[in-house]
Amino acid sequence: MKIDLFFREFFPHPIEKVWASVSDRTALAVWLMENDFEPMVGKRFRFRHEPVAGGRGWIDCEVLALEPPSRMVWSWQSIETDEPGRVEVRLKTVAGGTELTLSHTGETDPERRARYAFGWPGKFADLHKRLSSS
Amino acid sequence: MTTVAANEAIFLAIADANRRRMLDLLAAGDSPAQDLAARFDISFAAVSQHLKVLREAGLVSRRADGRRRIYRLTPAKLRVVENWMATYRVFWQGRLKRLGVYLDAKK
Repeated sequence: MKIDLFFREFFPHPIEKVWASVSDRTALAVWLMENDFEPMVGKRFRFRHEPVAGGRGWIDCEVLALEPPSRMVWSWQSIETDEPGRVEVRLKTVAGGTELTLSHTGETDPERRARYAFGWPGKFADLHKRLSSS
Repeated sequence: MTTVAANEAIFLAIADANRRRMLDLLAAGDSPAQDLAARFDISFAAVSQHLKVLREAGLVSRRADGRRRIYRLTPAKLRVVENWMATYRVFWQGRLKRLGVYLDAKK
């Protein structure tokens, strides 16, 4: 099964500020997840999240590309037995701010995924609540 | 079956390449088990076993036509797979929204 997701967001802030927020451990901890990221190609790091039913509670990543302030690529492995996915963030200056595009792609083995897939929705349900209340 | 177990059955059902191909073939129209089996290099017993897994997951239904068993794709449950993908979508949408809030607060 293939993950193939693509997002585009506009932020009314200069590209340097957005870059600082996507390439800094402390900032990433606030908006994404706890981590030990360092802005260095080849750096292996880990995002930690609440362990959920069937999940292991972390995502193993590696910085595959780093081109400040416009592009960063991470490998993204949430399950040991899957091939790592790929998360790519691109920033571009546009009128009034910065456009961020994020893609998350990769192959996953549905049989193994089946054992893990059902932990996430609980976590996302909370997120839904947050989003719909804001 | 609990919801989780039912969902798991769907993922397990589509984890096998032969079973996915059976679903593809049935997407083209209803088919007797024998006709399906003729398209595979595996034994009729093995095809039957795969069809049983698909049926128990609710992805195909079966009806009798005389002595033949006719299979039909019942794809509604594949929505579970779509929903799984949606969890990733919701995850990133939520996190990017949070990034926006973070940036706005950090004037």
